[in-house]
Amino acid sequence: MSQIKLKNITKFFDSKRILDDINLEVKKGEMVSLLGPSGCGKTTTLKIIAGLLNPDNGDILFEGDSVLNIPVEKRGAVIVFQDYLLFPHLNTAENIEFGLKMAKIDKFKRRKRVKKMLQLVQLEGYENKYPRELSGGQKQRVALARALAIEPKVLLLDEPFSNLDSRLRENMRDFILQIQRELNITTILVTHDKEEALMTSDKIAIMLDGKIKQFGSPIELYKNPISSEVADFFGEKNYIKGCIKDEMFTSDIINVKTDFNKYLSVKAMINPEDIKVFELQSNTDITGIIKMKKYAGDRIYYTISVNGVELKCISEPNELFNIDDKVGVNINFNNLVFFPIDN
Amino acid sequence: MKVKQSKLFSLIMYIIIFLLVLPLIIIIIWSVAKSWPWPSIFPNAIGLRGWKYFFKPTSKSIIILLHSVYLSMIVTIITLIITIPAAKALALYNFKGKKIVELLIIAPLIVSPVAVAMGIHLFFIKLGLSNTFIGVVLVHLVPCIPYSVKILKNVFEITGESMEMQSRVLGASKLQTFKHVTLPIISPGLVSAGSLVFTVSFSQYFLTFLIGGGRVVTFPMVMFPFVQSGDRMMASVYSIVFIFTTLACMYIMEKITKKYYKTEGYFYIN
Amino acid sequence: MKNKYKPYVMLIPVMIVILGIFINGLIMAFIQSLGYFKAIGLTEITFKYYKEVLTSQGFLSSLGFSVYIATISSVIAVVLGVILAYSILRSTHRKGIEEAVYKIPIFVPHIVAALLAYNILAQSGVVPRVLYSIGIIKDQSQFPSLLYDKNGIGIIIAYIWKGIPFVAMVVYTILSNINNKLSQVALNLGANNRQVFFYILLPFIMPSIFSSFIIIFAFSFGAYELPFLLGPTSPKALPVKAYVEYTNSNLANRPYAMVINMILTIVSLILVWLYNKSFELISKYNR
Repeated sequence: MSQIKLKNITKFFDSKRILDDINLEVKKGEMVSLLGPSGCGKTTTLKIIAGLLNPDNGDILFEGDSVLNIPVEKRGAVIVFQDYLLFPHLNTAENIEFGLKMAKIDKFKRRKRVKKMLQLVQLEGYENKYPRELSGGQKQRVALARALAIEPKVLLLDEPFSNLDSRLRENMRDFILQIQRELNITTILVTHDKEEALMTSDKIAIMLDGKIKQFGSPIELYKNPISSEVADFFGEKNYIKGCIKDEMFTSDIINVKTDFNKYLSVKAMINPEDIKVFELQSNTDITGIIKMKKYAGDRIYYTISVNGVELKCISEPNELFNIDDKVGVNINFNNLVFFPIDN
Repeated sequence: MKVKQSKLFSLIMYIIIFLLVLPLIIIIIWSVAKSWPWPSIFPNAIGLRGWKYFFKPTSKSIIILLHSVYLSMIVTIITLIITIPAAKALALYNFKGKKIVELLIIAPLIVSPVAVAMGIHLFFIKLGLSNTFIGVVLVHLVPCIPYSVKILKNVFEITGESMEMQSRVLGASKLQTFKHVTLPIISPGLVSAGSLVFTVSFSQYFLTFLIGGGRVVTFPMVMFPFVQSGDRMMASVYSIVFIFTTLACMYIMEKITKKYYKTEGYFYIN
Repeated sequence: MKNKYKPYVMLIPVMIVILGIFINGLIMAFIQSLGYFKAIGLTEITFKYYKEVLTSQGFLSSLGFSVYIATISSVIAVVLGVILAYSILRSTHRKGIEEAVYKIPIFVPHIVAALLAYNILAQSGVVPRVLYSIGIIKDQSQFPSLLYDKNGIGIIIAYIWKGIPFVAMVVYTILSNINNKLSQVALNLGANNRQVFFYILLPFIMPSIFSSFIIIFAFSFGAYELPFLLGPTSPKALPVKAYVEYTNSNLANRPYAMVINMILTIVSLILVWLYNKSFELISKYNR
């Protein structure tokens, strides 16, 4: 049975539809990401799960039971907010203890639990520090410990890493992931960062304009996006317009055999990493001209013009070319994805 | 060039501050002047007659002072209690009629209290509120509300609602959240608002005098005749007591608030 | 649904006081100013009291006196208050005790301010004593009587003393918040300090200057204590005049008091409107 289930959740703010028929299932111990641009309704979804907002339509089930009538403080879904929101008048230990104290758990048990949490987030020795004395990463860990202290049914993380600088972000990501696996706690992560979602999640839900566009494993979403909208979330893609006829895709630059036979007019999506450039040889079938080059150390981004069509590609750092060089182009056709062109 | 300029500004600053403070120093001297005839610049003789009179039980000064502090404390507490929710509503929510409500709340700061007091006097007499303690407390609320709402609204605009949401998802009820999160977080604002409200109430003369009808006697009312008759020594003694009491009450309010919110639940020290 | 009414519920206690005492008081004053005063049998609604009051010489000179006092004292207090705020900002050593000391007059009631003015400006006050000792005047009577006179110097000085710190506090708060960010940009773009003040800081603090002007103007226009203690017998400031009419043993005189109150209120309401305008400006800057 699924731990968390959202059924047809709809939410309006002042007659504006913020969430539109959201359906989502999260299994026990799973880490699920809600990935989308700001304003797509991710945070609203979290608040509805936590009970801070009520949906205008639909139902929320925890372990099969509707929790709509359970008030926020009894629901057991804790949000760790983007800016940590540590209580400034309480020290680290008191912050972690807060939820336990509210639940009127006895002092001895509270202390034991706080100690365990401090150990878990590796902050022993910081119990008497106030939030203003802690660094960003430490605040984050206190916020996490405070949320976990009350043993929530689900942990909700709202852009937890966006206030940290890039190196710390990676450390914290690994750290939280490790704790999540260790405690096997059901977690929903809200993020706008594709890498964060891909690297941490068991499943990702792509959200756009208050709708879940696709829900699946990271590999599924990356390899088989159901629309170019979804594909674009995971970086810049190449689209080649063409048509399919008799199991053949034909376009200005490539013709490929395909078992896909549904649409006439399509665009084929090629990932930049599936295009390689190499030094021109006599037997090259596709040739292009380098139009733009961005050197990034461990890889090089090229924009190549092939028969007037611009293709982006990511290349090994040793494939060094200059602008206006004529190069050979190799495309890996195994990963092509076709989308119908509407109109 | 730059240093010269900033010295010039320092000079201007000190001159203005000196002119603001000088009159206060003069009343301190007056309060202990036994004889200060024209045209001496300093008193000829020093004496504590004024202070002795003030502290003499028969003058009832101390009792009236304490009674006056008590009245203003009650006004302060009521004002804070009713303005916390109002300030929060104005800071965090959008609703129809918000602008009108804001204007109505700020208006007592600008509209003459003389007009309001005379207008409401008859109504208070009818309700039996005039010449009573409660009546004076109620009428004091009017000039106090705008200050308190203004300060607390600012505080709520800065703190927002997110801390409260965090508290709720951690399992605190609405009441627990108010007690353990909202109050401590807005406590510095409560101190500023409380200090100002106390001062406003404690300084009221006309409202107390008209609605209290001479039955409710506050400190400014015993002080008034001394100022009116030009008894400089006595008026100075009362003024010093007045200023000192105001500052002391503000100081105590701040200390109590700080102590309360810092020591509560400090058990990890031991 | 529940949330829709929440803010209104939260406002109920404050609005009970505002509507029940403040607005109610003004309405009562208005009704009585129209000559409706049941307690003594006046039930006819009439504008005759307005006509009489507005055409009486005594009233007009009182109105003039109140406007004069409020205007002069507020303008001077605002100018000096801004100068003080800017001086604190620019002076070399800041964050000292000066920053707290100048605020003391804010917490001193007007009755005490009256005493201070009396101590300094009366013919036996500090100023004539100093003038005598340096030989400018030869006798007490040579010092002009600044209190209880038609020029209202004593009242004005007392209001200025109360007003300067208030204006300085409001303006300094804003100045110290914008100083570093904006002035440095302006200096960097080649403006000198004078230009920074007139083109950057002044426009920024203008709405606050205006709103604090309104508050101290309204106060000095509508308050009773200072003009009663330091003002001349004639002309009386409007609030004093209203109270004199109010306490007249002939109750039939009440409507005259209320007419004066209504005129005080109407002027105040115009000020409320202006105050509101200044806040629209402030929020425009902060957007």
